[in-house]
Amino acid sequence: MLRSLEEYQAHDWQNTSTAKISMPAPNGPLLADLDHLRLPRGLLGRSLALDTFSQAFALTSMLLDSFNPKVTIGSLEKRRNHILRQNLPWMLNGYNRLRKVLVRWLQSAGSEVTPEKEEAGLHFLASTRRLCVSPSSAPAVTSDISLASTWAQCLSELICPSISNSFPAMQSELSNCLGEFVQATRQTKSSAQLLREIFLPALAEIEDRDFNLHSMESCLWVIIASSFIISAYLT
Amino acid sequence: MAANGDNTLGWRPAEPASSILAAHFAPRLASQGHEAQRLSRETFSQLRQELLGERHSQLRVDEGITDINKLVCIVLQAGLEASPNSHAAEEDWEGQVSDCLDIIQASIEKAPQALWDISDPLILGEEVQAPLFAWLILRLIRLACIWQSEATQDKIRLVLTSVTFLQYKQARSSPSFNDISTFLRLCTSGLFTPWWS
Repeated sequence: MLRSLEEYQAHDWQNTSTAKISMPAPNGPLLADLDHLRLPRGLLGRSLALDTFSQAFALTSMLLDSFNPKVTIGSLEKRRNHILRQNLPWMLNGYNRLRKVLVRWLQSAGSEVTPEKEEAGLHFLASTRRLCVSPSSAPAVTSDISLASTWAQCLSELICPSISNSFPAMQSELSNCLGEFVQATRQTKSSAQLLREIFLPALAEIEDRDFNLHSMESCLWVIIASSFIISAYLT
Repeated sequence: MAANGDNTLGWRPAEPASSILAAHFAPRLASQGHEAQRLSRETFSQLRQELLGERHSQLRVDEGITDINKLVCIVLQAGLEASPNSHAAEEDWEGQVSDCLDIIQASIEKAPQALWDISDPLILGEEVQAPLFAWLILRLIRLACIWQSEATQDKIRLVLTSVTFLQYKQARSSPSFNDISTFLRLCTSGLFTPWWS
């Protein structure tokens, strides 16, 4: 599904309302991969219409989230740590790919601001937030400087005024997400510097061009200011 | 048992609902293939109640795995795959979908090992043999495309999550230990065909 969404980018976004995605691709790697699982290729013999892009996006999110669900499921909950540990690199990669798709979709030229887009953005941020602050995955995400850097850059891309201005609810959710992410990562001098370097340009752009992004601006100020304090404290 | 001829089942509280349904319907569904007998909404509703009532009871494992596998296949085919009756109200149809998802959820919680059992392709109206988890994931994906209501999407999400989590009840030494998450990852990352109408 992720690859289908990525492939979709190459086509005309104006056709979004009528676009459909179906499965499986006749010669895609999906069928060959079934062999590794000792599953018959006929398993995917029937075509399945996945409907519009926004629905396919939501479904992909749902599949990714099944490894780190919002719900708690009783006695199985204790397995969450193990699942996250085992699948974390794949999940991070998946969310990162989904984020690229999302950003391109939200910024697509000539496309309208629609509730589907905002809902997709909000859902993505909620999933990202859950992943970054989960006791199971947070230590891995935030203690590894390259992972933290990747995620900070992902989030800073969503700060982009062309997105934040158009989707106010996302702006608010992104502020919360950034706050928690920063809270989790600002333990070391290097991460404090990193956060400042990544988010300072976004703050400068908001200030220079007088965008209507008050909650985002406040959040970024907190990040920048606290990173200075931490750097000074740790020096 | 409910109306529409299903009262011939002779539901007995002492027997697990799953084994009764599997014993009575699996042969009929298998012989009828794609033209699987349509079970009534009440059948699924009743079964759901029975299963949820049994949820905390002890299930005999030897009986459970095979029966649960068949039961889930029957529900997938006769409850979720069948076309809506033109006379049925949409709420009724969605209610049946909801009951079926609850049945699947309760069933796989009772006997997670059933997920790795090969399912009878005839019951499912399919041509190839594959473990239940593979059919279940694919059918849930299809269902999620059809039913957009939040309540149904939430239930689908819960079953998918349960399938993923239940995998970790399997012995880690088993060669198929990772199969479910690998297949789910494959479906998530893989390439499907884009087409434009």
